[in-house]
Amino acid sequence: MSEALAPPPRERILVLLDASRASLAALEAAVAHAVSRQAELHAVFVEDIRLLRSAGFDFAREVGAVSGTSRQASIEAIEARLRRQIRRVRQALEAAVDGHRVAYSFSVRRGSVVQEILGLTGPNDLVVLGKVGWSGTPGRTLGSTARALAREAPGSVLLWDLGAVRREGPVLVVIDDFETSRKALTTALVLARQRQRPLTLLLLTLPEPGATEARDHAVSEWLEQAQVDVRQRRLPSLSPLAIVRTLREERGCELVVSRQSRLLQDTQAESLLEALTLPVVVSA
Amino acid sequence: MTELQPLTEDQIYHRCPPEQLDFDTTRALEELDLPYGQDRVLRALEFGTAIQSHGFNLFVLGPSAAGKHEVVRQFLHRRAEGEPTPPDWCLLFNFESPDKPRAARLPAGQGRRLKEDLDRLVEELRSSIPAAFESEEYQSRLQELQEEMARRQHQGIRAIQEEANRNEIALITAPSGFTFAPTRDGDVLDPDDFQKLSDHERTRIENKMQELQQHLQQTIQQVPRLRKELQQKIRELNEEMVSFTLGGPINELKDTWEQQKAIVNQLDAIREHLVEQARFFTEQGGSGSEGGGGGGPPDGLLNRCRVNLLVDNGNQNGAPVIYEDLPNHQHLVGLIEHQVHQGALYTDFSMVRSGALHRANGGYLMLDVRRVLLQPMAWESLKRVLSSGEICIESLERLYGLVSTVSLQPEPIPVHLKVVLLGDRILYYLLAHYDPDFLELFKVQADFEDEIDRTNDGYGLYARMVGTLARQTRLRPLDRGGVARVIEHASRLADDQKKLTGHDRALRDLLMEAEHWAEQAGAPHIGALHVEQAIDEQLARADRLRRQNLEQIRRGTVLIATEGERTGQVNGLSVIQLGAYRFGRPSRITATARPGRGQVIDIEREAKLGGPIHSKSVMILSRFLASRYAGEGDLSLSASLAFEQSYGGVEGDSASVAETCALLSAITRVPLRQSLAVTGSMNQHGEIQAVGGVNEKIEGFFEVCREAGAVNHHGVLLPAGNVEHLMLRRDVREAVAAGHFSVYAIRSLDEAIALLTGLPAGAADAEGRFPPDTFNRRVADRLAAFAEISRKRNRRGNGETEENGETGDDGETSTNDE
Repeated sequence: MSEALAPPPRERILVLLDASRASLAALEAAVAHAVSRQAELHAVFVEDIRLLRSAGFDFAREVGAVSGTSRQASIEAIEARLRRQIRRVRQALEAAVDGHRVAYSFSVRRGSVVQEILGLTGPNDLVVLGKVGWSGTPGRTLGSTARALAREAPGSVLLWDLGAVRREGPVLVVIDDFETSRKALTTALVLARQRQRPLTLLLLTLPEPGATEARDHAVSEWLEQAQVDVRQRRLPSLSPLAIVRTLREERGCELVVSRQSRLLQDTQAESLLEALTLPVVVSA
Repeated sequence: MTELQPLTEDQIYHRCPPEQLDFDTTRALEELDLPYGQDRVLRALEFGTAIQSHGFNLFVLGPSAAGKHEVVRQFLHRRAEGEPTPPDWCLLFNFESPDKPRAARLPAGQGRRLKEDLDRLVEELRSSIPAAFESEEYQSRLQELQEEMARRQHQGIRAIQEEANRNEIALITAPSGFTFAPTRDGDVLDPDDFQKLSDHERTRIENKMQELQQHLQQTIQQVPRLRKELQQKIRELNEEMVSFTLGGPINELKDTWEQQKAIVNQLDAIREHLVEQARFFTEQGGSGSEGGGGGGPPDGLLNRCRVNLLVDNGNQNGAPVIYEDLPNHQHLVGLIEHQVHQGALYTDFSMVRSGALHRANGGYLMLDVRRVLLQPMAWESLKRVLSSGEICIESLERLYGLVSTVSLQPEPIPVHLKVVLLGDRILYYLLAHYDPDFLELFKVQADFEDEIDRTNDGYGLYARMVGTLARQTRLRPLDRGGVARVIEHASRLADDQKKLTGHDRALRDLLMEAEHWAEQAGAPHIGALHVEQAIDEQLARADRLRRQNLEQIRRGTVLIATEGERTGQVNGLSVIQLGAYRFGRPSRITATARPGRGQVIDIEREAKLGGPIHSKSVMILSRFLASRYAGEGDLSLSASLAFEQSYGGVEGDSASVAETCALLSAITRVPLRQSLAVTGSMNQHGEIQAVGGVNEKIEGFFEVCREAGAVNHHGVLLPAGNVEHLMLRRDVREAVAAGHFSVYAIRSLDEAIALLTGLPAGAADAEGRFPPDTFNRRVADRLAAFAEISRKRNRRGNGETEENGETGDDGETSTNDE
């Protein structure tokens, strides 16, 4: 068996749940990944310590996300709300795994959400979470937790978009230089096979002289070795708008991009992630 | 007094000599365009269809077998051919009031074109509008709008968050909203640690948080405005796309239909409406309540662009002639259909159906009046349309107020047509009497002739009519003999030597049956024999009861004497009608007489088996007896009359001559000849009046005589006024010719008496006395004797009354009488 087709090391799917719609949708995706990869599923609910602390101030008030009205906040109310959310999350998890042969666990932690997840996850884990949590209202398309985990997680992160999830279309993968993108390419190939979708390579133009050609050559060799037939398209520029338009034209079902990719290192990375309307895997 | 002579063969049958007909077969005859002998009806039809004033609709009246439908249909078709073809009528969706579809009038044939054009438009829009919404241009612009709005929404929050961060304050999101909390080194401060801060610092933070909260509130409260703005922009974008997509096809149609202002306006309305409703064409809108069934344009919305072609005169040449077979309310004025949609009844303008009045608009509508009257509300609806001059399509349930389902009120359609009702006379007269609107709306009556004059000059035309009938029914031609026999039978059907039946159906049936027998015989033409056979077979098929009746007489179950003489007994003649078939049969009429108080008891009436006309005739004969024989004295007679073995009731006055003869025989004890039968009614002066059914009556008695043995010196007495009605069948004619059977035409009772008794009747002198040895003298003498007996009885009776206090008849006198 070739290197490209070697099975990835045993991994764990870690799904972050906060009872928001986006997180419950991400749970479905996480279960699907766990089933197809025969991985263990671990669901985590983090009681945000910041929220609990904020309610401890005498002057603490809560501003309604929809109504804009201000009201008194209390620890008791927040604790009760968190208990309700945990109950809902647990029910959703049990419903999601029902009928699937998947090993799963559920834990509730208290602390900083990002820190708790980072503390739980390793390089072989896939963290699955909604692109936005409760911060999705109003008009926000990338939550702070998603942003932080996409940047800092030791393994891959799947940011699940609640919007236009497409079951058809190819798996897209962004290719920078070959070494940077190798993991992303492998992840995308596995995804494409699991989902029985074609694979499309989005090739960035590299600024260094001769780098693009060398990268193309390496990619061709890798593809040849892996014996896969893929479609290739060049990305014209690093401008988020141009990239988003290209991605929309490709009508992909999922995008894989390396954390080290220029796209995510760029100053406009956040704008790009915000603008994307398909699930994105940020690979290690 | 000379002896009354029987009628000759020529008098009892009016032959049609084949030599009167100057053709070999009816194939040589020209077809008759108009029915023969119905000139009055044709003039009425001509007038009624030509006059344009309001209310001059027609009522064609006549019996059901007269062939009214065929005559009227032919006439109307011929007339309609030369008249202009009326326009088409369409229903269009009314975008201002959807429950009131608009009616549009288009030249004949244009409705179909419009329907095709609009169907094509809908199909085009069905694909072009989704294509526009799926286009890269639309998707990009929509995305840009949404992103711009999301950015603007988020921008406010982010600005607050950044300001909060600068002031070491965290903006924390939670399911129900946002809270602020002071931070140190990125972590939210514990409330206890916060208390350790200086008062100044705490105040600063609290003030700042209050300020940030206010900003946040303002920002969040702007979200609905931003969302509304986004929706407005998306709507404008959608409208722009739809408007662009519609522009070409709609303008093309407007050019095509520029002559029809209503259609051009409708096309403008379609464009305006679709642009307004553009949101339903997007993927989200299309799966909504408009019934699109997933993405793409909703069917309900696009169907509003179509046209409901109510009346299509595209294939019509001239004015329409419509016959509505089932003229109920819906079939006349149209109906609004409903569909069950999610448990509720639903309708729209495309489910409106036209009625016969729509289809006949500009032409003629034929209706069977009886059927109209049998259908609930149909008559009232028809009158309402004719009165108002427009058709409003309204459901029966709505008229009755039975349902409260939302329905439509299509725009009324002006109507200009002639309604031709066909029906029996009785219906015309009843409607004229009881319905005040009837004569206002049906001013023209076309009354069919039941009978046509039979003249030598008319044979040619009648033959053409027979030939036309044969041709229309695709029969083989008739030869001269066949036509002559048909003419003779037509006279028999009319019961008149000088008339021919005008009933089309009877002739048509006869010809079709004759065709069958001609075919069986392999004859090239229908001849007299085939016609004769058809007539015989018709009679044979219907004569079960007649045969049964004859058998009962032959076996003595029913007593009828055809030989010898009997006192107080005579053979009367009656007719039994069963459907279209009738036959005659003799009835034994008996009478008894005895002295009494001038009473003639009608036993039929007493038993409630006699009808009023029969009772009247018995009263007439009673008065006749009194005035003729009792003079100024009392009629001391107690008599009774009965139809023996009659159980079904007696009606009519045609037996009054026979009853009088029986009664006089009973009075005088002079027997009557039983070989003769009598029919005829009589007035108070003893004059004989004509009656009906004489042919059947004579034939009935003839058959009874034949069944009883040989026909010899038998005969029938009938009113002289009936001689012209005689069209007797062949076997009777042959017996008459051979002198075995006689038919006597009598004018007075005396003639009947003379024939039945063999005695001279005797005429009264100036003093009212009859000559000796005459029948009438015997009657007078016998009645005088009755009077004497009565006087004696009265005297004795008065004495007894004084002693016993009793009055009334006793049995003694009757014993004397016997």
